[in-house]
Amino acid sequence: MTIAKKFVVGMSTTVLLAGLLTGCGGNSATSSSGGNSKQLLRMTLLAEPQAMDTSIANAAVSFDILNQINEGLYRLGKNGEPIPALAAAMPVITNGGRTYTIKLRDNLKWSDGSALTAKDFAYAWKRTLDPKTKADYAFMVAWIEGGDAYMNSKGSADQVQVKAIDDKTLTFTLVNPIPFMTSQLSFPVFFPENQAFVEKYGDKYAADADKTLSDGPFTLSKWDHEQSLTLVKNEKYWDKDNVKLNEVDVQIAADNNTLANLYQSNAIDEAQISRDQVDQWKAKPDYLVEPQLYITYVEMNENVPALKNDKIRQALALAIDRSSLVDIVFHDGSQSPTGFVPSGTKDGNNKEFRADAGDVLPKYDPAQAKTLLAEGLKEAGLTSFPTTLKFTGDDTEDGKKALEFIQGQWKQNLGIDVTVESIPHKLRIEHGQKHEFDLLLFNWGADYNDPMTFLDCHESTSSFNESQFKDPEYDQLIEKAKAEPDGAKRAQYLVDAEKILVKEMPVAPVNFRAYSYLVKPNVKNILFFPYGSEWDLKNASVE
Amino acid sequence: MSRFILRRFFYMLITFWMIVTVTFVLMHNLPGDPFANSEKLSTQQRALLSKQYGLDRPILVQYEEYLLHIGQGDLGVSFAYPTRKVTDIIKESFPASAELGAESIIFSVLVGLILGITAALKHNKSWDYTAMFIAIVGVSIPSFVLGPILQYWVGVKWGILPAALWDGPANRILPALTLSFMTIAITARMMRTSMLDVLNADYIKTARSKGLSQFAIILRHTLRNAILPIVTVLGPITVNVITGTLVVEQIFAIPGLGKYFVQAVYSNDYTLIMGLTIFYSLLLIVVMFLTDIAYGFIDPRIRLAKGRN
Repeated sequence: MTIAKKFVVGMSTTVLLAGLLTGCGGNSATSSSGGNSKQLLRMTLLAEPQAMDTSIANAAVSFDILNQINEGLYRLGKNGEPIPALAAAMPVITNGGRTYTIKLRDNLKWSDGSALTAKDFAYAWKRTLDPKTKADYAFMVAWIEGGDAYMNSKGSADQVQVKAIDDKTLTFTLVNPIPFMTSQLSFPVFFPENQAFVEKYGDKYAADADKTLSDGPFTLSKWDHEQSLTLVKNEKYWDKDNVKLNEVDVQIAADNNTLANLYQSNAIDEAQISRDQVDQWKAKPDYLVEPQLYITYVEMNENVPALKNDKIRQALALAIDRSSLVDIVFHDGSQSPTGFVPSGTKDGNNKEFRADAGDVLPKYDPAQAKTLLAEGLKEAGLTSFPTTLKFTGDDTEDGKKALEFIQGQWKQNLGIDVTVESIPHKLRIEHGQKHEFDLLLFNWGADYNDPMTFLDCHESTSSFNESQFKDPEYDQLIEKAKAEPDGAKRAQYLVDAEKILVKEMPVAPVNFRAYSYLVKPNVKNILFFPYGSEWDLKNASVE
Repeated sequence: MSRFILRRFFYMLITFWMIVTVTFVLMHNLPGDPFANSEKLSTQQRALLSKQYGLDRPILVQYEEYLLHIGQGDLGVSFAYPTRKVTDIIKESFPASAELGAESIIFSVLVGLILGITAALKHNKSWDYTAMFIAIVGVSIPSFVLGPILQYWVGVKWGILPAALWDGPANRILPALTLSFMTIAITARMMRTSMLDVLNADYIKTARSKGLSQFAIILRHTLRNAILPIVTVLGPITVNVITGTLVVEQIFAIPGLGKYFVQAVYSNDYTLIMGLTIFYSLLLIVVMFLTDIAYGFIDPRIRLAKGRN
């Protein structure tokens, strides 16, 4: 009996002690956090990035890394303005805003020491367009003459109007003048690629750290898939004297709670957090809100008879208390929308589009909404609002909360009932594109910093015109803006186009999204961006 | 014996083929396709992509081709990560899941056995109640509750262990602990029941009357017989723990295979879904087989019975 007791007690003690001992060992390991003298920065990503292939990458997490290890002709500055990077100066634009000629800096090198030339750009862009590359963002390169045909297997690479005149001069011609083109050249899809290197690795190009080639401030020295990436300073970078960080450790963690806990235990220097953590951090210097070029709206399908009427659509829009929605549902710094183009979007002349257009979205007004609904129903020859309509959206936490909130608002302010239906993201997209819905909660993020990315999806011919909005005047304004070389005139067309949306309300904006970040106060000069790559570490430092 | 093994192997192949076929059919009946998650693709672009990947061909043709590829050990390339082969993803991500699972199993079986043995020996005394209370708590608290609690208190508030990530040995403790509770509870309860059974058996009374010490009785006679049911469930538990690390992997940011499975289903990543199903089912089949062998070693009667077959 006693021996058995000793045996059991002894075993338990051993196990407990073992646990405690390893516990202590762990403690000393974690407390050695990144010292500032080392210039080590510890960043985080919410997901594993895809291959570091500038042609194929299509997710923010991929752009986050690409923007540090690679570089294009221009980089974006603090206010989103283009700053010459591999280009020696701003482009020379001729031919009514369609032809760009750009000189490269002297002695540009890839991280393996080989020369970087204008040919690397022409090669990369044509590779992106090549249908075999299957690049999601090829449509941007297709803005170049001949690009669209090549992308759709109707033309050849030789017909694409991008050329290396010599090793240091690149020229290309666009189909239409694009006022934001210079800024857009900072987007990874316009970065150069080294043909010999790409072809050496073929299908495996950029799939691992040793299969990437850098021309940016950092190189990718280690990539443990799904776990972490290590970036180190690129000694071959043309502007290496202005790069202060020696190393960037990027940890991958998908859960915002985990990120907040890691941040609080000083294991990382940066974290993106969600609504649950915002209140805890709001008052602290670590907290940052970064508005995104990202809009959420309710699509109202005009194939549904009741939703064909302008006034009914307006009533539905006016009956949503957007400020409460943003505060209660999103609660992450998101803003109540003031139009159909999010704040922060530039107008093509380096000014804020919202400043040009003003706050055009009518305010929350339940009384007015009620009147409009009554008038609209009368016009449409209906006695009451149909009770069979479904309100569809993503089955994410944000999605479900927003659906229910809006459903409640309509019930409370208009006395109408809709059935909420939350479905997986991919199904939601499919229903949207096939126009198989009544009301749909829809998200759209900018592909480039210009109102066009938010406005041309309401064109009657757009494959993203899910609400089936058709207005010839609107289509005309968008087409005119696309062809207009004069920036001011073009901006005016777009302002006018947005006004049509306000009047006809094919969709009801409910949110301008923002992201909430925590950044250690001793970390300086990380640039955060509202679309594409989330951040730029070129000039960042740890004090 | 060899005929027995051969037959088992043949059954294994049939099981495997059925799993592959059922998954294939179910998967292609999921709404959407591998490109359905990219909201920036227009309908035309998506059709073009489907064609390029051969997804527009009749399902039977795709099925036939897929079986041929499996036969050659080729699981294809992931749709979501087009530069990565499914076999590479498994090779890179499974070790973390397996390590975490193994650590958790070793720890939890040890603790579970000790709890169970203690409870049985101190039947209906406070030790017994304490051990069973721990077991019930273990079964009742799911890992997605326990994980964040441990992470917050041990990792953040007390700062004793890393809150998450997968850097060193210290990073293993919290996730392994989180993963262990369920197994501790199961093994403790099973061990207690079977110990109680065995302790009341005639041969134990005989041993006692021979004058053997309590220690010798437990070690030589009780444990060996009482542990059999544990060994039986150990195989499935191991597979369960290793494949069920998903939640824990998410909470503690562990680069394991579990989260790929869920992601793959969400994004209709056909090749990855099939690859992981095949991998996991092979794992299960192999473990079941090993359990059978282990069982035979502990209980000679089983070995003999099979031998006669």
